Amino acid sequence: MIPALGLLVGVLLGVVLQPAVPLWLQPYLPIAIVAALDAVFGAFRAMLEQVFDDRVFVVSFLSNVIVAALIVFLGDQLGVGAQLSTGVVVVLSARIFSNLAAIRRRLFKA
Amino acid sequence: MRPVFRGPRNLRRQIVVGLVCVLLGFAVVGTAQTNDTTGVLATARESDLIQILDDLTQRRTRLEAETRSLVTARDQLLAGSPEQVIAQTRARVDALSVLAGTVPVYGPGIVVRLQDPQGVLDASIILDAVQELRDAGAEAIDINGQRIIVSTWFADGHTRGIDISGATVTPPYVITAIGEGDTMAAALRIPGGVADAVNAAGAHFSAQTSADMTIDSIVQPQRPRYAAPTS
Repeated sequence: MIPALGLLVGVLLGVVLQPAVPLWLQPYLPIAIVAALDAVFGAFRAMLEQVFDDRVFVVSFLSNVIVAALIVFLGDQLGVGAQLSTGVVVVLSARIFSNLAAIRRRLFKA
Repeated sequence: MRPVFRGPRNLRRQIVVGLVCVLLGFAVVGTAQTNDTTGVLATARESDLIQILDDLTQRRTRLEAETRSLVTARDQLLAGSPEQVIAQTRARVDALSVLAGTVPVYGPGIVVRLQDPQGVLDASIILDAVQELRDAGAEAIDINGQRIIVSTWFADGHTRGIDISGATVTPPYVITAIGEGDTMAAALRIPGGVADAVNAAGAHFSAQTSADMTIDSIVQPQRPRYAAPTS
């Protein structure tokens, strides 16, 4: 309940405050968000499977975000930033889809 | 249902998870809004910008080259010396004279002989031959001393032979065409084409390419009565 409320509060805060993403963060934030979504879906799946652990969630959330941003940053420094961010997005999307499939199986038994 | 979220200690954990979710929602909305408000260029990474810049530079180079050649052509036309203008005009007149059939011409081509002792060939088959030669790139055509130009017309003769723009032409027909000889020969010999039609009608078709031949016949240019150039 509280996580869902938190998400809502965050969205509302964003709508109300209209934050400007700092320029140096702009290439990395979208990737970081995809990574965070991966962690969130993973957590949802774990919750349905009753093995949810908040510490695991927080740590995986933060490490996902930081590692994704770091990979893109490294790619930018090496001159392959665009390709690497595509790769990261592909991998994370695949994980999100597999998590979604697991959630779907558990929720709808289908 | 959720054993992991029970007890006072877990409330703190829930709040931590909730805070993380606040962060996520905030970031999502912030990014979405940033992408809405700023243009593509502002958020594009360096390599993409370089790519875009390269494309634009290449396009500009192409367009500049085109501009230069067009300006050069215009300048030549505007400020060209009288000799240049005359030379250009003369070249144009030459080309048009060949097309209009007002000058004798020479060059490589093909000679087509249609032996027709029984007089079975009519104007339409001759016209077919002329069209086939034109399609194959003939630049000047002559039939038995009659120069064939755009306004030439064909009709069946009153007694024998055919009528070419008012002049009666009798067999054998000798069609001389200047152009790519092999191409024209191939065009005439297409299965079901002119050669087949002539032979089927009972006449005899023969064609020979030549590297150098002359067409001496000319037509007098006629001033158009109705059409006038727009420029």
